[in-house]
Amino acid sequence: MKPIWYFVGLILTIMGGIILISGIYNLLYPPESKIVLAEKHPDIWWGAIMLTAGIIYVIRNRKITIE
Amino acid sequence: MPENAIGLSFVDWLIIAVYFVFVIGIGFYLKKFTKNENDFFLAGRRNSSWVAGLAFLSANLGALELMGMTGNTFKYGMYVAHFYWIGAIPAMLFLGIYMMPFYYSSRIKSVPGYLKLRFDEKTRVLNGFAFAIMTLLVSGINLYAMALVLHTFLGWNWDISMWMAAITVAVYVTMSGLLSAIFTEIIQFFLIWFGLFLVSILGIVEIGSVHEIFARVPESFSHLWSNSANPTANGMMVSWGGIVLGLGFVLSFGYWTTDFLVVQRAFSAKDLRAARMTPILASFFKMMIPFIVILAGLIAIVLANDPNSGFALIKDGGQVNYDSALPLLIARYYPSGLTGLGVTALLAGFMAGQAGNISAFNTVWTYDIYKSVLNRNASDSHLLWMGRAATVAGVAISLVTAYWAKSFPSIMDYMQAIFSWVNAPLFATMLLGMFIVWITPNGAFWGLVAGMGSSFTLYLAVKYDWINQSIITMSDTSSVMAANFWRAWWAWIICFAVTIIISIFTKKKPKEELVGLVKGLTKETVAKDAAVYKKPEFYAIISFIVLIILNLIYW
Repeated sequence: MKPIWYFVGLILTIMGGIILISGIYNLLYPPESKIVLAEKHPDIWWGAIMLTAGIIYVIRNRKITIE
Repeated sequence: MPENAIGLSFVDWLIIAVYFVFVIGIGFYLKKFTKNENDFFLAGRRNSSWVAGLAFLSANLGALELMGMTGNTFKYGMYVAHFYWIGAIPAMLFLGIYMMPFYYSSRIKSVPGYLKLRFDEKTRVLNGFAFAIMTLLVSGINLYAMALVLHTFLGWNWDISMWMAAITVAVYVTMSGLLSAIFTEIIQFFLIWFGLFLVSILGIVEIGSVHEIFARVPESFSHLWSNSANPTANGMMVSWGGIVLGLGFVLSFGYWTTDFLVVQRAFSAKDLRAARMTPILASFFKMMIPFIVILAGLIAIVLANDPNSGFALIKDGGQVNYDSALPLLIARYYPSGLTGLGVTALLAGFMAGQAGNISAFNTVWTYDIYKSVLNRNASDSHLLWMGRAATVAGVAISLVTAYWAKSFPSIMDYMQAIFSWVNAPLFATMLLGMFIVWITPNGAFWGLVAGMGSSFTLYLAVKYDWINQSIITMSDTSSVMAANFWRAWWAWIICFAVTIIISIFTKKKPKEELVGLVKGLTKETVAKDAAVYKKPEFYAIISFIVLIILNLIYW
């Protein structure tokens, strides 16, 4: 069985990737309705942090199986 | 759609869909590893202390708690941090150091199972029934609350919200029981941190600094202890006595050391050391939760007090909806994509809480009621089938309870009473049972009956003005929260006293039947020759020091 950390990595990678891509899209095509601190682009850097954390978890656990 | 509803974009829906597909997929994946009743009810007893520890914490970390505690911070100020620090950490450390050896070494499958070994069948069945009823009520009320939140803030349909969540939980818990519940709880832990901690970060960025936040909240809202001598000087209107005795001792120890919903996670650990480390590791993460909920609540206070911020909590019929603080902060700061993550974190919290309740219920029903009362000769394979059937039945009953709560919303007021009714007296029974040899089965049974009965009676007496609240809080000024703390204390005292008095006059169990169950008749579990840094006691001391430092910083 794959360890739980592998699945944590997978979901962080998928969600982080979607949020990062969405953030880049919002940077290129700014939405009409502005949120507070929109100029900080939290979706880009937070998505990147999630994606990085997810990839690390996946790589570290991809070959591990537990009984 | 309600006027306050947060709009979701395609990306937000995509994030939510990923979560649903993921948790159901995990249920299917884990089913092939769930071969027997040990796998289903105890997750195969193969978990490390990290896995069991995060699940232990996450089982308690529901969305209601996150939103409720952020709202309570808006209402009461920093005192809400007591729920996470003195109201949790000492009890978690006590469980790991002193109680876990009795629980884990006796190879029981549930907390009522310990009562059977230490006392007798009737005490076990009494607690089993009380726990099963409490769990299903809480599960149903949580389901109702989830639908209420999703309807209020996202404009979702009531029925679809409740049925989608209930069916998803039923599918993955039926397939692999505690194993899938634990997996989804750990995923929930990460989603909550990634989905909600950003609110605090962006709040600090907007306001300027943490120091600035504290400078702009009312003085009575920004301390933990320095204004606790006089109940009128703090936001919660409670004295230090109520905090220490009611919350820090009875409610906290009652919940963290006896509530099977959380303790079950430690039973899934691979060995005794991992089981003891489970609550100790969880204590470090528990201490960090205020950096999401308390900080978000304080940020909401600062923004609400600033007329230029444009931030105000929702009002329902003239009443402030404190639970709206966290969703409104998400709407304020999160762009599309991140909004989906924030909503998913709340959804994950609701569903993992639901799964936790259901997986605890199916174990107590199967072992402490069905096998104990209805079918004593049931085979292991039959019990596995019964666990799955109990999961489906538990979810169905939760749905009925949820619809009942929808037509009778004041049932929410009874939530706190339900907890203090079952957990506060049980802690007195467990404490006496584990540490005093001469406590008898009849003493434990009648002590529990008296404690549970008195707790509920006191609740009704104050609610319907049979007695004045000041009689139980010993103060003319007190909040509902203060009354909860003091009522739990009195229920504990009554259970403690009745158990001792009846034990003096009733037949004791032979000592040979109590080996491994009571201190003094159990061999020491401390590995004397192990390196210091490998001992659970070492990490418990570090955790306790961190607790003291946090209390001193925010004194």
